Amino acid sequence: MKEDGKIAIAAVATFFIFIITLGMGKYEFSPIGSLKILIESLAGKAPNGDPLANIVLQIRLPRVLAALLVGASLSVSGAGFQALFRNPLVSPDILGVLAGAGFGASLAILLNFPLPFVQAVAFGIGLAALGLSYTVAWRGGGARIVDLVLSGIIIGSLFKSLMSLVKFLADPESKLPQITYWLMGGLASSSWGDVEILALISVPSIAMLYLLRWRLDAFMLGEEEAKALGIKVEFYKAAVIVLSTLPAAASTVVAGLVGWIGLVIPHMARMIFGDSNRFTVPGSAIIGGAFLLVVDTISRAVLPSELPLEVLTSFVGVPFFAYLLRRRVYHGWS
Amino acid sequence: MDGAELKVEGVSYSYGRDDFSLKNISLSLKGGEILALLGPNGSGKTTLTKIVLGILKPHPPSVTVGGVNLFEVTEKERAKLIAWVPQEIMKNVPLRVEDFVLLGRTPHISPLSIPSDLDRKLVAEALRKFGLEILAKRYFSQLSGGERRLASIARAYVQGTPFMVLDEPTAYLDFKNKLLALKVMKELAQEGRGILFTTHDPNEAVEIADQVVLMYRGEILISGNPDEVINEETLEKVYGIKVKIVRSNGRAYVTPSIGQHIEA
Repeated sequence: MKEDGKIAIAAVATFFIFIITLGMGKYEFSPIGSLKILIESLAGKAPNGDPLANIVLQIRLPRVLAALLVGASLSVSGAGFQALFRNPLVSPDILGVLAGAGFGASLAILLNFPLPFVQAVAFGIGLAALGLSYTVAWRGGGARIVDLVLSGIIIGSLFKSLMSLVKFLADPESKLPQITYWLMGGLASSSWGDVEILALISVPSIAMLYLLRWRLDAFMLGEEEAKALGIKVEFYKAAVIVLSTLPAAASTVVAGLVGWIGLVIPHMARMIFGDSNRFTVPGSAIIGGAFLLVVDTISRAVLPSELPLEVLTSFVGVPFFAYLLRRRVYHGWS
Repeated sequence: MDGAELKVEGVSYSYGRDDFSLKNISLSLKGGEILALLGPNGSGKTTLTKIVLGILKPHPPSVTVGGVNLFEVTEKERAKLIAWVPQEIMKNVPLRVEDFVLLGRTPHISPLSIPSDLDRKLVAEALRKFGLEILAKRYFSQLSGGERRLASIARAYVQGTPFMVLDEPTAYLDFKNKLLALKVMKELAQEGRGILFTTHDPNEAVEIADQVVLMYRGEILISGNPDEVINEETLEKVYGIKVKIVRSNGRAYVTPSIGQHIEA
């Protein structure tokens, strides 16, 4: 089919972007050089003797992979929430998860926790925020979508207030800048540990959402019609919420609060590939991954000094989105 | 599919605590039959359709298809027995018509798998059957009201259920599309499906129904074949207006008389 072909082309293009950006930076490689190092290391040949190869494998490769995975995670998370809530304006922070994770990280930094604990606390409080939103909205054996939206806004604002409180209490000389930079988002310190977090949490969730893509389409009809089509509505709603939350929470843990991507990339994917979730979910993963990789590479290898992702995603994304919006007639959500 | 019977036995339903929305409703419908649910706004027609569909659970939960209680089986099994064309068809669905109709196959597709060639073949056949072929690639949100209704009927059709519930299938449709919707229901019944539809227009019930259930304030006032149910006395009681029944070529036509309200 036409759309499947487009997705395949985008996937191949993303692979090329991956190879090219891997070679970009202070030490430049040709794409073929990067490919060679990759293949050698995959084949088990440790290029220990080559210091340049080590740079690529130990420093640049995890960052490049983290960018791909964070971009894909946030975008698929947004796509899942938008389908479930039947609302094009929904983003991964709709249920207060990102605010919760942000508060968790701020608190852990304030308390001088080492990095892995900062990440663990951020992740845990992010999920706790989801649990709170769900609990507030839950009544009579289910949680209505409209109640979830409202409870998510309330819980989100609670954690934003708590985050402000932590910043207020933080030492403005040392802790406050640390917290602020963490929250602004970035991949500069990405390690293999971060890639592992994403691989263990985001990748399986994205894969599950991809498998559920047909069920997601049924949700776009509304809950009653989905139920009449034989869908266990409350079960799948909870499943989609959890599967959309996990990648967003993992991304926040690794890269801080990277806004924008989760809201806008699913729309780009819809404009390019089509509105059915069987295109939106894989399309968002591919476009989101490629997009963040390009943005992060600009920050890392092109600009004289790194800018926070929050800033750059908008600088790069807005013109691209404006171009798509003006070029295509967007019919889906009218 | 043949020989199955849809039965609702003495069910009641209440939205609030004391205030009963539906009281002691019983009806039965066989495959190949058309049942028209007639009644004014707020008489409980839509609530009853949602009960018949298993979306709302009545007391006692006694809705069966071929002896199978819809409230004792999984959602998926239920969706293989009865399909729904809702009254308010959501316009804002960002799917192409063919994908929209394909959703009717949901109960036949396991959660993590994808539609089979058979599913796609059935959808292609349904699009042809309902004259939607040329609209297949259009977005659902771009269709006219009549086209959306047909697409929804096609979606329910590919569900392949012995019974179908259509909630006001002729609402908001123009003269021609109204007739088209009635014709489609007749054809579905001729194929052996049991059709339950709600309507505000007694003439539609006379035109195609085998049996009519006349509802009034959450109860069944009278049910039976159209001739028994639709007469001046019952309609005047339910709608509170004077009506006149004109007979021509052996068929009854109901005409309301403007300006002759009955004082309650």
